[in-house]
Amino acid sequence: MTDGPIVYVVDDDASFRKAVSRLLRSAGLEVEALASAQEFLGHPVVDRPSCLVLDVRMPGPSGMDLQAALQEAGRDIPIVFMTGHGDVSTSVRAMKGGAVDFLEKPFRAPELLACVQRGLARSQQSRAERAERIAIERRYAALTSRERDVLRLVVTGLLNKQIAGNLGIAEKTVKIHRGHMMQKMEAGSVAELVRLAQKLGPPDSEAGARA
Amino acid sequence: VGFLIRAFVSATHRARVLSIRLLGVVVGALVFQLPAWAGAASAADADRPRQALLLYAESRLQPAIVEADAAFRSTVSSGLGAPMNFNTEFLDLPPTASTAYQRRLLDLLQLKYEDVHFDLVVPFQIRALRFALDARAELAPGAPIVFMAVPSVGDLELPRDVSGVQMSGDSIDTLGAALRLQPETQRVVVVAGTTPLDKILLASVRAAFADGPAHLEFTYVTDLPLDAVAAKLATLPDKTIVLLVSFLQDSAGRALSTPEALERLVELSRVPIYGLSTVAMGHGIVGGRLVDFKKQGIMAGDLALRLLRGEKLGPADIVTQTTNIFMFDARQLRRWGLDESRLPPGSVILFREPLLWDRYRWPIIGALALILLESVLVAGLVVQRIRGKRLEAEAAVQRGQLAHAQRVTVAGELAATLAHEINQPLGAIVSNAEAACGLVDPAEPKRTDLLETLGDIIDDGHRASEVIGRLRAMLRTGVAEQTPCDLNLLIVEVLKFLKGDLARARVSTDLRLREDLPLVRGNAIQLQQVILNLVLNAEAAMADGAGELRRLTVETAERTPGTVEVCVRDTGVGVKEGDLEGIFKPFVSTKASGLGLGLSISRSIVEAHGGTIRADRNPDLGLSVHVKLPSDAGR
Repeated sequence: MTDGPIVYVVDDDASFRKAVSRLLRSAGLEVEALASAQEFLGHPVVDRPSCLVLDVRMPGPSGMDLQAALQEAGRDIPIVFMTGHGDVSTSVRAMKGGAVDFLEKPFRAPELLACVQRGLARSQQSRAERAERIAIERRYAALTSRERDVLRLVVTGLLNKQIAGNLGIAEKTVKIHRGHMMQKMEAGSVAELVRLAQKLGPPDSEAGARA
Repeated sequence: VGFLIRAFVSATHRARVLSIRLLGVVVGALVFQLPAWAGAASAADADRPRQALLLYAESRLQPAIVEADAAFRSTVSSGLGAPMNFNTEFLDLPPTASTAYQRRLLDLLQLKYEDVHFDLVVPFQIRALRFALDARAELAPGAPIVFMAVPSVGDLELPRDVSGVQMSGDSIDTLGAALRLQPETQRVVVVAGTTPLDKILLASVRAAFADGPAHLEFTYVTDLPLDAVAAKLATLPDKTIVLLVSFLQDSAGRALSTPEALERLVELSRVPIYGLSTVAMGHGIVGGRLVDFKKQGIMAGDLALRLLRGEKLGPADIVTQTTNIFMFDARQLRRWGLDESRLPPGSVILFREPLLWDRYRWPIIGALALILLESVLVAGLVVQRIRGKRLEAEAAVQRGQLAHAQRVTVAGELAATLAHEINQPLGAIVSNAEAACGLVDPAEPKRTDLLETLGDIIDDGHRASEVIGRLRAMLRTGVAEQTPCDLNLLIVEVLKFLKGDLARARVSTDLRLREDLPLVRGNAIQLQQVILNLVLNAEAAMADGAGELRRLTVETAERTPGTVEVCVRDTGVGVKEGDLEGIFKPFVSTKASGLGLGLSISRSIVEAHGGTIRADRNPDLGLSVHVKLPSDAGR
């Protein structure tokens, strides 16, 4: 199951790394255990739902450093932090940086599993959102320039006649472009088209107009 | 000291009077031996010594006689330029004149001076003058008379070759001076002895006071034993003064001199005693318009010289002008509390004891200055000592706080490290146990026991971890009380503590503190701990350095707004590139005696303050440790 979720455990303590990995595997999760931040960064990125279980204090780059590095690289992977001795300021920083949770060793198995599941769910969701966005973008890319113009004006709520006036073409022509556009965008209704357009982000009218 | 000086002055005065008395006796004795030799030489020699006959009615040297006699002799001797014999006779005339006695005495003197041709007869006082006038024709025919100290020639008819110096007791002027000094005076007690002279003088005083101020009550005390007089004076009421006229003998027949009597009276008298003669001066009288017997002698001497040089002198040449002077005793003025400024103008004040101030002005000023200087010095030293002690105490308190904080932090750091190191395997144990639970086959018959066992392992793992956690919580390098801190000030204070250490280690310190450094919000003691640890590490790193250069640089800066930087740089042994990260780990130390917690603690504190700490190798020598802390404004 190469598309299933994967959990990365990064801790410099081999014994602990092994134990946590074992625990997660016993819960049926696929686990990759790594000894340092560098090792994780050097690991090939896989397109699967994933969660990072990360020790805060390690020789070399710390867990906090790795979190910052991933953010900078635009890698969106939920992180569950673990620490041998937590202090308030570090945990606050970690949570502000988007961590799923901050666990103090030793922790109860259900705690860890809950956190990891939450992380994987978040990963799954963001993957789905990304996949949808890519699909919509792909559909949008298939539109002609005129169809994009029509889409832009349809989502603002204009009627066909108004669109025709706006673009300086016949209302009948607008109807034809609109039909093609709705089909290509796989939208069943104007409401659905608006939702899809929102996921595209702000309408890039200039660029669209030129293309 | 005043007392000693008074005693000394009084003693020297007595010695002087005594020596003059002795001199008189010796001179007298010599004069008695002279006539035989003088007679032998007189016949042919025109340059024969001139002969003077000095006549005293008394039986012995009285102080007044001593003064007048000595003054007369020295005046004549020094003025004449030729030998002069002073033949002196103490006639011891009886109180009541006896012709028979006088006759026999004259016969004796005639016999004695058979071969002496007198050039001059000098009687002293009125009785001697009378005797001289009677005896001259037989004893010293043709010799002119020059008298001394005769109050008044009275009814005497003086031949044409008689002259002399008159004396008058200035009882009125003395009383006037006394009243100036004591205006409140109501009674005047006049005291005199019993000799004829005493009585003569007393009579003249009485006569003078007959016209005295009406408001004064005059009492005359005479014909009493000295002790009785003294007793009387001892019981006198206030506002009374005593005038001692002359006291040569008391009613008990005790022969005295005025000074002797006076000293006894002064001892007991309740009121001031004034006098009439310089003889009494210095023996207890306050003073007065005093007869100056020395002056009498000098003036009589002058007359004698004129005669001896051939001048003819007669009654017209009698010196009547007064020889009296206002003279006072400063000690008595002070004793009776009398105001010196009220004395008659031109008064002579004797025995003025120079005030210590007058006599020892410069030594006193010097001594005072010295004392002052010394006091200032002592005060300064005391103040300095107190301040030093206070500073020392403050420093000790601060050092104590720092040491305490260091111990607590070391314990905290140890606990944190322990927690980390122990929680790591505990975490592994617990996780393994939990994993094992999942691996147990539910169908296995003994699974309940196994799951229970694993559950216990998990629980105990947590229990152990909680113990560590509690220990840590107790010793937490927590966020202590935070205030805005001036890092520059903290650095200066820490370096002050370590001044001695750094000096012993021969480390020179270079402070490059940025002015107007923003404040940092934090715990001053913890931040000082960081600086202390960094400086001590720097010092230790340089301790074994072979190089001469042992330079510690502490720098503060604000390179980016909102972040304050402290850099502690040394020229020590430094750290290998690969070991740089490790030096902040607990129990990593290059020092044999070090715990290896200094930098670890520093990192904990800095991180608890929201800052970072980093070490860099210097391009040349040693290590730089950079601490970055958010400034108070930057938060």
